[in-house]
Amino acid sequence: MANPLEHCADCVELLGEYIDGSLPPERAEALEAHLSLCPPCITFVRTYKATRALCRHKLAREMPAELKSSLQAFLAKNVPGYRTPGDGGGEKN
Amino acid sequence: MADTPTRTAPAEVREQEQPGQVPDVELVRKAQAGDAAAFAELVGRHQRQLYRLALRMTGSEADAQEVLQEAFLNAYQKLPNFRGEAQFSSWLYRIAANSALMRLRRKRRAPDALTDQPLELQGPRFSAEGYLDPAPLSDWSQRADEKMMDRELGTAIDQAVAGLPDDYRTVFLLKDVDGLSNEEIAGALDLTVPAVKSRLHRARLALREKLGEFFGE
Repeated sequence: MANPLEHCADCVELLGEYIDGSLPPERAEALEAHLSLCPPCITFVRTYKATRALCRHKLAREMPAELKSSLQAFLAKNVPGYRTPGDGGGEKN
Repeated sequence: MADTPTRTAPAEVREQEQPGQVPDVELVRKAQAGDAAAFAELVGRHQRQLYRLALRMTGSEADAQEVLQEAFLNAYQKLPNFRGEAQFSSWLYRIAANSALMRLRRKRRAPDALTDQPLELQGPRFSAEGYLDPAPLSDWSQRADEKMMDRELGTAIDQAVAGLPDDYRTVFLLKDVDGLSNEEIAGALDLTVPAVKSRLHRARLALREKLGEFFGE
Protein backbone atom coordinates (compact mmCIF):
# COMPACT_ATOMS: atom_id res chain seq x y z
CA MET A 1 0.00 0.00 0.00
CA ALA A 2 1.42 3.35 -1.00
CA ASN A 3 1.79 6.14 1.52
CA PRO A 4 -1.36 8.24 1.32
CA LEU A 5 -1.22 11.74 -0.05
CA GLU A 6 -1.07 13.99 2.97
CA HIS A 7 -3.34 16.81 1.89
CA CYS A 8 -6.73 17.11 0.24
CA ALA A 9 -5.25 19.80 -2.01
CA ASP A 10 -2.83 17.24 -3.49
CA CYS A 11 -5.70 14.80 -3.95
CA VAL A 12 -7.85 17.37 -5.77
CA GLU A 13 -4.94 18.43 -7.96
CA LEU A 14 -4.47 14.87 -9.25
CA LEU A 15 -8.16 14.12 -9.60
CA GLY A 16 -8.45 14.96 -13.29
CA GLU A 17 -5.83 12.48 -14.38
CA TYR A 18 -7.10 9.94 -11.82
CA ILE A 19 -10.64 10.05 -13.17
CA ASP A 20 -9.35 9.83 -16.74
CA GLY A 21 -7.21 6.81 -15.84
CA SER A 22 -3.97 8.49 -16.87
CA LEU A 23 -2.40 8.91 -13.42
CA PRO A 24 0.72 6.75 -12.91
CA PRO A 25 -0.18 3.69 -10.78
CA GLU A 26 1.93 4.67 -7.78
CA ARG A 27 0.32 8.12 -7.66
CA ALA A 28 -3.14 6.58 -8.06
CA GLU A 29 -2.43 4.26 -5.14
CA ALA A 30 -1.31 7.17 -2.97
CA LEU A 31 -4.48 9.06 -3.90
CA GLU A 32 -6.68 6.03 -3.17
CA ALA A 33 -4.93 5.62 0.18
CA HIS A 34 -5.85 9.22 0.99
CA LEU A 35 -9.45 8.59 -0.07
CA SER A 36 -9.67 5.59 2.25
CA LEU A 37 -8.93 7.94 5.15
CA CYS A 38 -10.79 11.07 4.04
CA PRO A 39 -14.62 11.02 3.70
CA PRO A 40 -14.75 14.67 2.49
CA CYS A 41 -12.52 13.77 -0.44
CA ILE A 42 -14.69 10.75 -1.27
CA THR A 43 -17.66 13.11 -1.48
CA PHE A 44 -15.58 15.48 -3.57
CA VAL A 45 -14.62 12.72 -6.04
CA ARG A 46 -18.22 11.56 -6.39
CA THR A 47 -19.54 15.04 -7.07
CA TYR A 48 -16.65 15.76 -9.46
CA LYS A 49 -17.63 12.68 -11.46
CA ALA A 50 -21.34 13.54 -11.22
CA THR A 51 -20.57 16.98 -12.67
CA ARG A 52 -19.09 15.39 -15.76
CA ALA A 53 -21.98 12.94 -16.14
CA LEU A 54 -24.64 15.65 -15.76
CA CYS A 55 -22.98 17.93 -18.29
CA ARG A 56 -22.55 15.11 -20.78
CA HIS A 57 -26.20 14.16 -20.44
CA LYS A 58 -27.40 17.73 -20.84
CA LEU A 59 -25.04 18.98 -23.53
CA ALA A 60 -24.42 16.03 -25.87
CA ARG A 61 -25.29 16.92 -29.45
CA GLU A 62 -25.84 14.73 -32.47
CA MET A 63 -25.21 16.06 -35.94
CA PRO A 64 -28.67 16.98 -37.32
CA ALA A 65 -29.83 14.90 -40.30
CA GLU A 66 -30.52 18.02 -42.35
CA LEU A 67 -26.97 19.19 -41.81
CA LYS A 68 -25.66 15.85 -43.08
CA SER A 69 -27.84 16.22 -46.15
CA SER A 70 -26.72 19.77 -46.83
CA LEU A 71 -23.07 18.77 -46.43
CA GLN A 72 -23.51 15.93 -48.90
CA ALA A 73 -25.23 18.25 -51.37
CA PHE A 74 -22.46 20.84 -50.97
CA LEU A 75 -19.70 18.30 -51.56
CA ALA A 76 -21.52 16.71 -54.50
CA LYS A 77 -21.62 20.16 -56.07
CA ASN A 78 -18.02 21.11 -55.33
CA VAL A 79 -15.97 17.89 -55.41
CA PRO A 80 -15.70 16.29 -58.86
CA GLY A 81 -17.11 12.77 -58.91
CA TYR A 82 -18.30 12.94 -55.28
CA ARG A 83 -21.02 10.40 -54.66
CA THR A 84 -23.60 10.80 -51.94
CA PRO A 85 -24.45 7.80 -49.69
CA GLY A 86 -27.55 7.09 -51.77
CA ASP A 87 -25.45 6.19 -54.77
CA GLY A 88 -22.68 4.24 -53.14
CA GLY A 89 -20.42 6.43 -51.02
CA GLY A 90 -20.43 8.26 -47.71
CA GLU A 91 -21.56 7.43 -44.20
CA LYS A 92 -21.60 3.88 -42.98
CA ASN A 93 -23.73 4.31 -39.87
CA MET B 1 -11.07 1.25 -1.85
CA ALA B 2 -13.28 4.29 -1.50
CA ASP B 3 -14.20 4.99 -5.07
CA THR B 4 -13.13 3.79 -8.45
CA PRO B 5 -11.93 5.89 -11.34
CA THR B 6 -13.69 5.86 -14.65
CA ARG B 7 -11.06 4.34 -16.86
CA THR B 8 -13.05 4.20 -20.06
CA ALA B 9 -12.89 7.34 -22.16
CA PRO B 10 -16.23 9.01 -22.88
CA ALA B 11 -16.08 7.69 -26.37
CA GLU B 12 -19.43 6.07 -26.92
CA VAL B 13 -20.21 8.74 -29.45
CA ARG B 14 -17.21 8.06 -31.63
CA GLU B 15 -17.64 6.58 -35.08
CA GLN B 16 -14.24 6.88 -36.63
CA GLU B 17 -12.08 4.10 -37.95
CA GLN B 18 -13.43 0.82 -36.62
CA PRO B 19 -11.72 -2.59 -36.43
CA GLY B 20 -12.06 -4.41 -39.72
CA GLN B 21 -12.59 -1.21 -41.70
CA VAL B 22 -10.26 0.01 -44.39
CA PRO B 23 -7.79 2.25 -42.51
CA ASP B 24 -7.99 6.00 -43.00
CA VAL B 25 -4.49 6.01 -44.47
CA GLU B 26 -5.61 3.64 -47.24
CA LEU B 27 -8.68 5.75 -48.02
CA VAL B 28 -6.49 8.86 -48.10
CA ARG B 29 -4.15 7.20 -50.58
CA LYS B 30 -7.10 6.29 -52.81
CA ALA B 31 -8.61 9.76 -52.50
CA GLN B 32 -5.26 11.30 -53.42
CA ALA B 33 -5.33 9.15 -56.55
CA GLY B 34 -8.71 10.67 -57.48
CA ASP B 35 -11.12 8.17 -55.90
CA ALA B 36 -14.02 10.42 -54.84
CA ALA B 37 -15.82 7.49 -53.19
CA ALA B 38 -12.87 7.06 -50.84
CA PHE B 39 -13.08 10.75 -49.96
CA ALA B 40 -16.82 10.36 -49.33
CA GLU B 41 -16.03 7.50 -46.96
CA LEU B 42 -13.60 9.73 -45.06
CA VAL B 43 -16.28 12.43 -44.84
CA GLY B 44 -18.74 9.89 -43.46
CA ARG B 45 -16.30 8.72 -40.83
CA HIS B 46 -15.29 12.12 -39.56
CA GLN B 47 -18.27 14.42 -40.11
CA ARG B 48 -19.84 13.94 -36.67
CA GLN B 49 -16.71 14.70 -34.69
CA LEU B 50 -15.88 17.61 -36.99
CA TYR B 51 -19.41 18.94 -36.48
CA ARG B 52 -18.95 18.80 -32.70
CA LEU B 53 -15.61 20.60 -32.93
CA ALA B 54 -17.13 23.32 -35.14
CA LEU B 55 -20.19 23.65 -32.93
CA ARG B 56 -18.15 23.90 -29.72
CA MET B 57 -15.79 26.49 -31.17
CA THR B 58 -18.39 28.72 -32.82
CA GLY B 59 -21.33 28.11 -30.48
CA SER B 60 -23.70 28.26 -33.44
CA GLU B 61 -25.37 25.58 -35.58
CA ALA B 62 -25.35 27.86 -38.62
CA ASP B 63 -21.64 28.62 -38.23
CA ALA B 64 -20.89 24.96 -37.62
CA GLN B 65 -22.54 24.09 -40.92
CA GLU B 66 -20.43 26.66 -42.81
CA VAL B 67 -17.26 25.53 -41.04
CA LEU B 68 -17.96 21.92 -41.88
CA GLN B 69 -18.46 22.62 -45.57
CA GLU B 70 -15.39 24.83 -45.75
CA ALA B 71 -13.24 22.35 -43.82
CA PHE B 72 -14.09 19.35 -45.97
CA LEU B 73 -13.65 21.32 -49.18
CA ASN B 74 -10.30 22.64 -47.93
CA ALA B 75 -9.28 19.13 -46.96
CA TYR B 76 -10.16 17.86 -50.43
CA GLN B 77 -8.16 20.64 -52.08
CA LYS B 78 -5.17 20.16 -49.77
CA LEU B 79 -5.26 16.38 -49.91
CA PRO B 80 -2.33 16.15 -52.38
CA ASN B 81 -0.16 17.90 -49.76
CA PHE B 82 -1.10 15.50 -46.93
CA ARG B 83 2.00 13.40 -46.30
CA GLY B 84 0.66 11.22 -43.51
CA GLU B 85 3.06 12.58 -40.91
CA ALA B 86 0.09 13.17 -38.60
CA GLN B 87 -3.11 11.18 -38.32
CA PHE B 88 -5.66 12.17 -40.95
CA SER B 89 -8.18 13.02 -38.22
CA SER B 90 -5.71 15.39 -36.50
CA TRP B 91 -4.95 17.07 -39.82
CA LEU B 92 -8.68 17.43 -40.52
CA TYR B 93 -9.43 18.82 -37.03
CA ARG B 94 -6.72 21.44 -37.49
CA ILE B 95 -8.24 22.55 -40.81
CA ALA B 96 -11.69 22.81 -39.23
CA ALA B 97 -10.38 24.64 -36.16
CA ASN B 98 -8.62 27.21 -38.37
CA SER B 99 -11.81 27.69 -40.35
CA ALA B 100 -13.78 28.21 -37.13
CA LEU B 101 -11.24 30.72 -35.81
CA MET B 102 -11.29 32.71 -39.06
CA ARG B 103 -15.06 32.79 -38.95
CA LEU B 104 -15.05 34.02 -35.35
CA ARG B 105 -12.54 36.74 -36.22
CA ARG B 106 -14.61 37.88 -39.18
CA LYS B 107 -17.54 38.22 -36.82
CA ARG B 108 -15.32 39.96 -34.27
CA ARG B 109 -16.10 37.25 -31.80
CA ALA B 110 -12.54 36.08 -31.40
CA PRO B 111 -12.29 33.77 -28.41
CA ASP B 112 -10.51 34.83 -25.26
CA ALA B 113 -6.78 34.75 -25.86
CA LEU B 114 -5.25 31.40 -25.15
CA THR B 115 -2.82 31.78 -22.35
CA ASP B 116 -0.59 29.52 -20.33
CA GLN B 117 -1.40 31.50 -17.22
CA PRO B 118 -4.06 29.67 -15.20
CA LEU B 119 -7.16 31.77 -14.79
CA GLU B 120 -8.70 32.38 -11.41
CA LEU B 121 -11.67 30.09 -11.81
CA GLN B 122 -13.77 29.25 -8.83
CA GLY B 123 -12.76 25.96 -7.25
CA PRO B 124 -12.57 24.24 -3.89
CA ARG B 125 -11.00 26.06 -0.95
CA PHE B 126 -8.42 24.63 1.38
CA SER B 127 -7.22 25.38 4.88
CA ALA B 128 -3.65 26.53 5.43
CA GLU B 129 -2.83 22.88 6.15
CA GLY B 130 -4.18 21.78 2.76
CA TYR B 131 -7.48 20.22 3.85
CA LEU B 132 -10.81 20.88 2.15
CA ASP B 133 -12.31 23.86 3.97
CA PRO B 134 -15.23 23.89 4.10
CA ALA B 135 -15.45 20.14 3.66
CA PRO B 136 -18.27 19.11 1.30
CA LEU B 137 -21.04 18.01 3.63
CA SER B 138 -23.54 16.91 1.04
CA ASP B 139 -22.95 14.08 -1.43
CA TRP B 140 -25.32 15.30 -4.11
CA SER B 141 -24.08 12.80 -6.70
CA GLN B 142 -26.97 10.43 -5.83
CA ARG B 143 -29.56 13.18 -6.23
CA ALA B 144 -27.89 14.15 -9.50
CA ASP B 145 -29.08 10.89 -11.08
CA GLU B 146 -32.65 11.60 -10.00
CA LYS B 147 -32.53 15.14 -11.34
CA MET B 148 -31.08 14.31 -14.76
CA MET B 149 -34.23 15.54 -16.51
CA ASP B 150 -34.81 18.53 -14.22
CA ARG B 151 -35.28 21.72 -16.23
CA GLU B 152 -33.84 23.99 -13.54
CA LEU B 153 -30.75 21.82 -13.35
CA GLY B 154 -30.45 22.07 -17.13
CA THR B 155 -30.53 25.85 -16.88
CA ALA B 156 -27.93 25.78 -14.10
CA ILE B 157 -25.64 23.63 -16.27
CA ASP B 158 -26.08 25.95 -19.27
CA GLN B 159 -25.25 28.99 -17.17
CA ALA B 160 -22.26 27.37 -15.48
CA VAL B 161 -20.76 26.22 -18.79
CA ALA B 162 -21.46 29.59 -20.44
CA GLY B 163 -19.57 31.26 -17.58
CA LEU B 164 -16.32 29.48 -18.37
CA PRO B 165 -13.63 31.28 -20.40
CA ASP B 166 -13.89 30.33 -24.10
CA ASP B 167 -10.92 27.99 -24.32
CA TYR B 168 -11.74 26.24 -21.03
CA ARG B 169 -15.31 25.71 -22.17
CA THR B 170 -14.24 24.39 -25.57
CA VAL B 171 -11.75 21.94 -24.05
CA PHE B 172 -14.31 20.73 -21.50
CA LEU B 173 -17.05 20.20 -24.09
CA LEU B 174 -14.79 18.47 -26.58
CA LYS B 175 -13.38 16.11 -23.97
CA ASP B 176 -16.12 15.38 -21.46
CA VAL B 177 -19.19 15.77 -23.65
CA ASP B 178 -17.96 14.86 -27.14
CA GLY B 179 -15.28 12.32 -26.29
CA LEU B 180 -12.28 13.65 -28.24
CA SER B 181 -8.90 12.60 -26.87
CA ASN B 182 -6.54 15.03 -25.20
CA GLU B 183 -4.21 14.66 -28.18
CA GLU B 184 -6.95 15.42 -30.69
CA ILE B 185 -7.99 18.52 -28.76
CA ALA B 186 -4.40 19.69 -28.37
CA GLY B 187 -3.83 19.33 -32.12
CA ALA B 188 -7.03 21.13 -33.08
CA LEU B 189 -6.65 24.02 -30.63
CA ASP B 190 -2.87 24.33 -30.93
CA LEU B 191 -2.34 23.61 -27.22
CA THR B 192 0.01 21.22 -25.47
CA VAL B 193 -1.51 18.10 -23.94
CA PRO B 194 -0.62 19.31 -20.39
CA ALA B 195 -2.40 22.59 -21.17
CA VAL B 196 -5.48 20.64 -22.29
CA LYS B 197 -5.42 18.56 -19.10
CA SER B 198 -5.03 21.66 -16.94
CA ARG B 199 -7.91 23.52 -18.61
CA LEU B 200 -10.11 20.45 -18.40
CA HIS B 201 -9.48 19.97 -14.69
CA ARG B 202 -9.96 23.68 -13.86
CA ALA B 203 -13.19 23.73 -15.88
CA ARG B 204 -14.50 20.62 -14.09
CA LEU B 205 -13.64 22.11 -10.68
CA ALA B 206 -15.41 25.37 -11.51
CA LEU B 207 -18.48 23.54 -12.81
CA ARG B 208 -18.55 21.29 -9.73
CA GLU B 209 -18.66 24.39 -7.54
CA LYS B 210 -21.56 25.84 -9.51
CA LEU B 211 -23.54 22.61 -9.47
CA GLY B 212 -22.76 22.22 -5.77
CA GLU B 213 -24.41 25.60 -5.24
CA PHE B 214 -27.43 24.38 -7.19
CA PHE B 215 -27.72 21.30 -4.99
CA GLY B 216 -27.23 23.38 -1.85
CA GLU B 217 -23.80 22.05 -0.98
